[in-house]
Amino acid sequence: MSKTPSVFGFWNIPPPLEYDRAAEPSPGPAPSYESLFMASAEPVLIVDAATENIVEANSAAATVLRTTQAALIGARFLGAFDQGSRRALKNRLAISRATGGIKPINLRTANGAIPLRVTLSLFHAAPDSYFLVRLKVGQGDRSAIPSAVFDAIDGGADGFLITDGAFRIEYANQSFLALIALKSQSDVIGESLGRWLRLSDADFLRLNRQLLLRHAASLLCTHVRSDPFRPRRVEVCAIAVPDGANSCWGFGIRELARLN
Amino acid sequence: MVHPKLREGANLSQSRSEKARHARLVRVIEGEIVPRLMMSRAAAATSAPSADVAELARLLLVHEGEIASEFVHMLRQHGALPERICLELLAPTARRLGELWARDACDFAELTTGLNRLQAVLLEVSAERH
Repeated sequence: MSKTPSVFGFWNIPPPLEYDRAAEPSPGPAPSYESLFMASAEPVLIVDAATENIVEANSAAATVLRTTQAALIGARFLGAFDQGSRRALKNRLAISRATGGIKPINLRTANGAIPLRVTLSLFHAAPDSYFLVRLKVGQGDRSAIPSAVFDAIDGGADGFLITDGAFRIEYANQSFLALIALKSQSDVIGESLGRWLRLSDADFLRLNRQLLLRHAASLLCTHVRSDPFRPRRVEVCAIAVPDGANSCWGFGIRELARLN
Repeated sequence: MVHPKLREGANLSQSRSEKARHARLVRVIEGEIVPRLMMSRAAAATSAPSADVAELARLLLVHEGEIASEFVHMLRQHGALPERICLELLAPTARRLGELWARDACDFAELTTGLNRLQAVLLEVSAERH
């Protein structure tokens, strides 16, 4: 996790009166995205776009590919699939590099020739580019399965938001609601993020451009408008999920006072 | 008065659409957002500027020079010495602007304007020193 403290300690000044947080359930510890990734039930690989080597793999992916996480990390991505699938996969990697596309492809694994539906999408985490690879076995519907990762995010200490491409909120977790002193999801769904995040129109344009072009925006520091007498300083990390009409933006929002 | 069976049907379809929305949320969060945030945060952790540097760079790019001057003035009022402002804020901010340009987060015109504003701030701080 990155820590971006103030050089001059200015932001360490004790805060003035706070709104009543005693009535709110205290949030759990901030889960690291790495531990959430590892705990995810969605099989996912992260592949370096330059070398085509696997740089991250969660345990769900290792299970699907019938191997271990340790064996996957550093291995050739193409090597995880059978000989017949590799040419099609190579073509899809080239298309995805050129278009950033997210279309699925049917492949078979190297171990056991299990049929998989594989979705590839290119994203940038400066200075490098990666493929996000999602593996799906069969037609399993996870709608009824509870998700520990979702629960950890919903009740975690960091703010978490999903918006549509016009920055209209589609989902906000409990911590974000607490940060803006609201109690219910229904108060924020459909509302513009700009109502609470203190960014100018120019900032939003820049953020939008960065998300469209690079699919990620590095940490930016701003304030959340909750109490007019005490705007709360936050660090925002934004990413894009490019998926045609279903494209959305994801935001991790961390209060800086908690870091310092 | 709505017939109970119709109401039941409406509730059922509402609960189904709520379930479908939740399933989509879980899929997007687990399969798309968490892995990307993990990689973005890891990349940012290796090159994260201090909060002040990031803020000043943002102000220089987005606002008129007076706003950046106000920001630096505020830090001065809270006891930051001019020498530290120059070495630990203005110099890294210049580097930060260069990084933002290199990664295409701002264009050449914005970079040039930002650097002009930064130079004006530097002159103000230097004048305070003497």
